[in-house]
Amino acid sequence: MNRVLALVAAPRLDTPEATEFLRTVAALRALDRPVDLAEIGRGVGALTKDPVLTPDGDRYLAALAEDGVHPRADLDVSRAVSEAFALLLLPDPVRPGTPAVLRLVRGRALDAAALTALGQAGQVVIDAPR
Amino acid sequence: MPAVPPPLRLLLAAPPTAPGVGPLLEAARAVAVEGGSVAVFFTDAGLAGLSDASVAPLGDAGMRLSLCARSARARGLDPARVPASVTWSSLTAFLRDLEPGTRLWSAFP
Repeated sequence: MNRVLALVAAPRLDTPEATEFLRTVAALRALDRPVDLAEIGRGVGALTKDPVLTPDGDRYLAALAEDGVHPRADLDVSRAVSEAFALLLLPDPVRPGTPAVLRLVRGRALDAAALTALGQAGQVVIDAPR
Repeated sequence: MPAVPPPLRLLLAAPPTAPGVGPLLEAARAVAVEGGSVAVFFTDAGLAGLSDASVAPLGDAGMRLSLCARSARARGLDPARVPASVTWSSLTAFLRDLEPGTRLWSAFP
């Protein structure tokens, strides 16, 4: 289990934050990590429908495409979380921030409540099972 | 005797004021206090955390701190304001060679 799940929940990607997010995703892929890149919430369409990125963001997305990583709007996020060792989330800037930190557990799929919380939490991480 | 927590690497690309960042840092500090290996990497907007009062306790807890030199240069970060406990590094160096079982956390604004 060494996949990385990268989720975009932000509707605007022509920002420094989105560029840094894509740089991180591209760096992980360049290090041979399998990566799933998907959109959720208000981020749906931000990458898959005529994305508006910074010039560097464009470069990182192109690099990901060359490495076989293509953004998806229809990924089964619950299953993808269960198969990922790490989650990178570009959150919606207007999220409620509750809970402050959502700690998911490696190897476990999400239920409906956790899927909802994913888009509302301040930060989201995948933790090791205890 | 409680088990040592698995290693943790935290990529901090969000400032201390972003939702959830304070509690996330506190969770990372708790791992270090329990004896786990913790490394924190400051990059992009996360570099603002270097001048925050919350950083000093991280080093005191035994966490390894580093920053993205590329981002620091791009943001005109004054090296004199970087705590001596923080190593200048790169994103790739931080992300490579993750030990098996390592947790990789990240925070974006």
